[in-house]
Amino acid sequence: MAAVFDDIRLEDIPVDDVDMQDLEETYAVERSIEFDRYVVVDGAPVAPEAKVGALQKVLTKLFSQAGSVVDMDVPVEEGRTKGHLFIEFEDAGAARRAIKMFNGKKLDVKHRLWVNGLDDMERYGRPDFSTEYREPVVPEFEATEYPRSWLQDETGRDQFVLQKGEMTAVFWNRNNLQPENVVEPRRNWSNSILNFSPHGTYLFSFHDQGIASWGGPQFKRLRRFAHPDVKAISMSSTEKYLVTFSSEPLEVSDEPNEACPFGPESRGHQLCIWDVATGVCVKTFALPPQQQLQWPMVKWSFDDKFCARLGPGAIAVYETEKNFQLLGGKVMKIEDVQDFSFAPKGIKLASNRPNDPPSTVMVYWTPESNNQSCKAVLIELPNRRVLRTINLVQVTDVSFHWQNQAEFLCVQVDRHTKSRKTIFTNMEICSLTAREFPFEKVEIKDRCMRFAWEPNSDRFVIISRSENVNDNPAIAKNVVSFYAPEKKVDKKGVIIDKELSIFKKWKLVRAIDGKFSNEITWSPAGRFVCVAAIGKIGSRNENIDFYDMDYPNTEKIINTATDVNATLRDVAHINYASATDYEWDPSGRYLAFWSSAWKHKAENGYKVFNLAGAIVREELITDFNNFFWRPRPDSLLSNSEKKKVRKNLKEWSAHFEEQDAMEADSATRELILKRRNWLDEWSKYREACKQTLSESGLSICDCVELSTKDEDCELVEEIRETVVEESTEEVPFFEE
Amino acid sequence: MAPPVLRPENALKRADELISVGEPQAALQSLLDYITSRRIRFADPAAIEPIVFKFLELGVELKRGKVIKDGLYQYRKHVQSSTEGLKSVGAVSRRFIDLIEKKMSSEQAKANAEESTEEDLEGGVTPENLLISVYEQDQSVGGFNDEAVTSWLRFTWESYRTVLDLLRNNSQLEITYSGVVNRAMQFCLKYNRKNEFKRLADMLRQHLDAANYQQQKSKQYTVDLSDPDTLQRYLDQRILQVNVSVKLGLWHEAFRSIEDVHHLLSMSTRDPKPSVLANYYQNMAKVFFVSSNYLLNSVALQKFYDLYQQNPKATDEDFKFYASQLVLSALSIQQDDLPVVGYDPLARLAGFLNLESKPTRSQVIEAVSDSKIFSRADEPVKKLYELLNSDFDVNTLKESLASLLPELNSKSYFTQYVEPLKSFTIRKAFISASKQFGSIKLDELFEHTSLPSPFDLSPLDLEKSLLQAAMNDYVSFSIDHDAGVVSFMEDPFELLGGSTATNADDEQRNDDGYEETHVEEEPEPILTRNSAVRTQLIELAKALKETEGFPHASYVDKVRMARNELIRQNNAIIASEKEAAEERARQLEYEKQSASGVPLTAEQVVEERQRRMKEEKEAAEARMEAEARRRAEEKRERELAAINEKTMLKMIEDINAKGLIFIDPKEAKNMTLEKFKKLTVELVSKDKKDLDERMSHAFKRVDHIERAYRKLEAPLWEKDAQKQKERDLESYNKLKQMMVEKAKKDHEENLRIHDRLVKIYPSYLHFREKVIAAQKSQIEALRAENAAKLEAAKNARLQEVRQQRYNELIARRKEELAAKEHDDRQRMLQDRLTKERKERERVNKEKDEAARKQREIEEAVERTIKRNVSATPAPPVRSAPPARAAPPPRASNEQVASPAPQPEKKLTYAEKMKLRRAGRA
Repeated sequence: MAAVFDDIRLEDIPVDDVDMQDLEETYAVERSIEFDRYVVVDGAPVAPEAKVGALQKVLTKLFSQAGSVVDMDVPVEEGRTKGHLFIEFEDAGAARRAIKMFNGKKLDVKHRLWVNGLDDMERYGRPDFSTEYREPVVPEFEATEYPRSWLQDETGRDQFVLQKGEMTAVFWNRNNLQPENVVEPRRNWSNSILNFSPHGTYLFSFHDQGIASWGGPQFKRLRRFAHPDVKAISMSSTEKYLVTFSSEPLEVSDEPNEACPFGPESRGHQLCIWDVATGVCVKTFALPPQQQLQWPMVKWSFDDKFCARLGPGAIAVYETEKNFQLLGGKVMKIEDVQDFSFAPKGIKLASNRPNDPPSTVMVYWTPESNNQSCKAVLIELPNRRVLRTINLVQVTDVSFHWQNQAEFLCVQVDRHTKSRKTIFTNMEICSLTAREFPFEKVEIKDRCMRFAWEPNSDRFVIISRSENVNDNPAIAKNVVSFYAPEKKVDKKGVIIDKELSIFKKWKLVRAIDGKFSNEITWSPAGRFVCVAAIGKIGSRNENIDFYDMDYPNTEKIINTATDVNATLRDVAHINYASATDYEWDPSGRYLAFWSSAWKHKAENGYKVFNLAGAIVREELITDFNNFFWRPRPDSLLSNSEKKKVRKNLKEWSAHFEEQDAMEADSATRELILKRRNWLDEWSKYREACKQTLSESGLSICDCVELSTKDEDCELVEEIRETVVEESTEEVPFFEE
Repeated sequence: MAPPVLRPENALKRADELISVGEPQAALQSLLDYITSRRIRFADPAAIEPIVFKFLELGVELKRGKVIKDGLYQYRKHVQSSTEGLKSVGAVSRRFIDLIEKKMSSEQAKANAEESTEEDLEGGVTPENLLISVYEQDQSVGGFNDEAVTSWLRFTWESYRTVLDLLRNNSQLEITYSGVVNRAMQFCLKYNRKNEFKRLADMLRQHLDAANYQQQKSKQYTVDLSDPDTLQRYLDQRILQVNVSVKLGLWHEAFRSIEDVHHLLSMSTRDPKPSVLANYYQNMAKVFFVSSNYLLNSVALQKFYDLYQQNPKATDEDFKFYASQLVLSALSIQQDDLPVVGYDPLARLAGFLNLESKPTRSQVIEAVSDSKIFSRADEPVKKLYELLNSDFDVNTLKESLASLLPELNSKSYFTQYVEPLKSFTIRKAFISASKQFGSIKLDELFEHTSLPSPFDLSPLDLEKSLLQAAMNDYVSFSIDHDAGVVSFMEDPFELLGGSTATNADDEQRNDDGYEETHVEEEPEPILTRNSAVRTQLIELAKALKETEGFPHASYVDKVRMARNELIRQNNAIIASEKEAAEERARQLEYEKQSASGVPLTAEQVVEERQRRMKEEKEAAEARMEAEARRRAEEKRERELAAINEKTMLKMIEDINAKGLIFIDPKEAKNMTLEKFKKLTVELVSKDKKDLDERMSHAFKRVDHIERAYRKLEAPLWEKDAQKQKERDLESYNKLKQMMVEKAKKDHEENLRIHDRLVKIYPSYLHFREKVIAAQKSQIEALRAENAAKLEAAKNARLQEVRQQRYNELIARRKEELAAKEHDDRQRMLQDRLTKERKERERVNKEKDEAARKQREIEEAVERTIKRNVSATPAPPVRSAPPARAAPPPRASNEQVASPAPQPEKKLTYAEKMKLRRAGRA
């Protein structure tokens, strides 16, 4: 057979077309010369040549802490080392670690090591390094429009934002009337949500490149904060700083770049702090290692003078005005610290002198350890004075709830029984304005799930949940409890025990059990509170309950305790099962609930209720995403001015009633306007008359003094008879 | 020591072991403990049963009745919750009864056997063993054998009682129950235990009562008497009871049983079996017979006979017997020509036989004379019947009876009726005699009425029966023993006057006028009871005398009339009294109404007073009753009110607890549900209105305050706006300053670093070069190495690819070749086939040709032969051709068509050639 194939020969087979690309790639040597594995060490002891070996040994041992040392080159001149040397690490990471660890490290009394990368060498070590000072590039000053112009609305209306699909619109709230557009609805304003700053001055939108701030009457773009891939933002207390967080570490090129807001030291950092007004990045942080992410990662004192981050076994406090340097140059080492919190307001401590500025107070807690009980500690900044420590035992968790004026702090202590099977809550309530910071304990049998202080007041509502009941989720077992300070009054309603106003004792006003409720929201104006069960789709019962804590008719209240400073009454029960979120308007008059398409697709839309649970407005919108009110800064009015307003409320009321009537009905509006015209005309006429009279030397006496004496009065009695009906009827005579 | 928990089989084993070591008592106790333990409640009854059997065996053996009873009750208690358990109870009970009966009969047998031997031992009762017996368990210590049997009897009886009690009134155990009842009755019968039987019957009655009672309560497994089967069972039991009691001669008990049966029969919807019923009637007849109630006896027999006619097995003989018996029984019925005044106890008894009223003799006789019965009766009976009924004659009676009686006497059924028949006949004879003779000599009368044997009676007896007849009012007479004369009276009222004369006077006077007698008797002032009765009777007599035919009627007829008159009068009196009472009531009513001012007589006053007292009493009673009723009513109302108040209070509290509205709990008393609802709704709506008002006010307040604040704030914001630019600039400058400072600082730092590093720079350069060199060489080396590797890899790849392609090519070529080869082969095959076909065709042609030539040759030869036939002898047919011409049977397919199929393959080459040559020739 083989003979047949003689014409085919192995050698003749053409193979020129065979693809060798992959092989070439495999064997290609693409290594360039690497320098980032090397560091240069300066400040090493100068030793005779003979001792090079010993020196190398010592230094290798030292630098091995950063990574394994491959080689060490010790230049020698005239029989002595030069005091600097080069180390080769196995990889670039080790080299970087070495720089971080040993740069500036004191080897001994005489020697301090300086460690630099070879790129530093290139940058700074060149003899031709420009030693000239260059002005930093600061963006030109731009005068912004008044960012709080919305507060100057004539009728004092509030704004809210609606997001639906890609569209975002800002509206004026007009009670139950159709809302009015503030600006034209915009498409793709933000990639995801929009956020107002805490006082409503700025609106932040999310983009791939970073964050943009918007403001002014037309919501123009103000600044851009180029932090790629931003995931979360938070604002400082006074809207001065913006904190952004990205899951991607920053990449900063070595070359100074005009467009890049970050310096080289920011490489790999994930947190940035920006100056909101100018859009300049003022500080960046890397994430603390091995820690659970807990937003916000940067917490601010009430006046933005300090910000702080929680690190492992320490709290880092920075002074913002000193270029974000660590307070006192170092972190506050607190072993095993779990959480901390700034007081939301400056506190006039009882120990302070009257003219001292309010103090910045911080509270943190540490858990139980072998030889220490759990502790919650109040300290004052910046002097780090410990104001008060409370010791706790059998603690599972601690959380802090500040009253918004920082008058009270509730330390919620979730404690476990000795068997560790059930958890119950103690509430240690501290009065911060009192001397010695007395703690009052409120114990409940169950575990507290939610806690909410009444704004500007001393009452609170909690939702607790008993854990040892059966686990059927269909059974409502949450308990809503209302607490108020004890009030002892005599029969005339005068408070007997004056001390109670200082040393408060909280009492349960009423506990309502068998609820699914899981959220508490107080009206920012206080008095009214709404307790809602959110995320319980399918519950057919009312899931939103409105309560009035100061119901005026004391006979119709649902209190179980009478000697408390509260008259509780449930004022409305509403069923809005598909609600996913809620927010009070900043004035505390309206509460909006909405059902967001981000959470589920059922009945998307929003409903606005007034503080008593009466529905004001509702809209069903497909793909509705978000509803939020524009916050307002604190009122500029002083307390006395406010008091005056409340005193003259009747006049104001008349005015506003009229205004509302006008708004509501055009006919009424015209009538009112007409009347006003008439009044104007008449007063003009009167003025004119006055004028003419005064010209002719006469004065008007429009006030006639009327005597109220009895003899001047005459009693006029008038009797009026009215014939309602008259009818005639013929009566037949019987005797006929 | 607590008994260890045992498994069923172990319990048995343990008991066996205990028995084997001679501890039967302990074994019994262990078994008892086991079956009374609670845990068997959950066990399978089937598993426990053997143990109970064992227990029973042992218990019977040891005669521990109480223990057994205990055990059985416990067992039932444990297992009765399930049907299987109850079945098991039934099985156990049956077993128990079996055991006990076996034991009893064996004991009896033993006793009988011993009795025979015992007699010789002339009773072993000695003071010694009497003493021993006191403390011995075993009662059968010598000499007490008889006692032993009795004690066994008692034991057996107790056992029956236990079992019956155990099984009673449970629908699941009914059948067993009735079985045990039967056996118990048999027991009584067998051992002739009359007292026990009475008790048994009582017990059964109690059970039935209980069953009736339970009927109303719905309980599990109760006996359902409305179930026909159940009822039938009970009925059967009772009929048996009747049967047994008759057999035992307990007539009273039998009668009570009949009552029971009657009760059950009335409940039953299903007719009992005729045979049973027949037996029942038979027994009943017996009972009535024993009680000398021949009337009902006869009726019962008649019923029995009716049923008996349906008996397919009955013979004519039987019929004759029963018919004769029936006729005789009918004849034995006492004379009842006189109606009974007042209550007749027989009426109730008649009810047992489903008769509406008491039958009369004539009715029964008439029924009996029905041909169906009468024709079947024996001849002498018929004659007797005729004799006693139609052609009764005192004078000839004696002779006719004399001829008849001996014949009758031979009949078995006759004897029992002798007595009643005799008395009947004699009475009849007396009556007819009384009609015939006004007065007669006693001897003569006796002569007349003394009947042949067995109806014969001594004169004394005769006189007795004469007196009896008089007592029953069939005759009235006076006997003058001095003269030995009996004088019959015709008029039942003769005696009233004391003498016949007065009677005659009366009669005479009666003729004169009714008034007179009346007047004459009037003066008699003393109203004694006797005289009252007498007056009554006299009046009766007077009334009767007026009736037609009375004076001429016989005594009996007169009595009958009198009695009828009495009954009539009684009825009339009752009616009139009733009327009078009504009238009086009306009168009273009327008097009361008309407030009588009429002075009343003393009598009337008394009457009035009595009446008033009665009225007052009644009124008081009525008042009290009303009061009681009112009080009860009030109490009820009070209770209702209290309940209402309680519920209302609770509702009020509930609603108050909600806190929305408040209702004074004191109002609870006056609250009803409707009121409460109304009030609640009212209050709630009021509250709602109030709430709404307050809330809208609250909202307005907050709203207005807020708006006022904002209004006031506006100028302040205006001022703030003015400062905006300033503020911006300030913050800008601050920031700028900060940045510049920072930049300066950085710069300084940089300079410092520069100063430090610039010193190192030369050595750095040196080092750098060194590094570069080192790395370069390294890289070079690597490159070279890699280049070599690359080359090798390239070559390897080329080699591989080349080989692969080569192989592919080879394979392709091979394939082509194979195809080609295949084609070639195909073609070659084709060619060969064509060639062969052509060849065959040619060969065939040749053969044809050859054949033709052959034929020609043969023909030629034949011709020659014909020509030379005489000259030459026939040539031998030697050539094959003709033979070959014959078609061979195995023609090949291809050559079927060929005219002369030649199996060419069979031909050798030489032959072919030969053929060819021949063909050519």
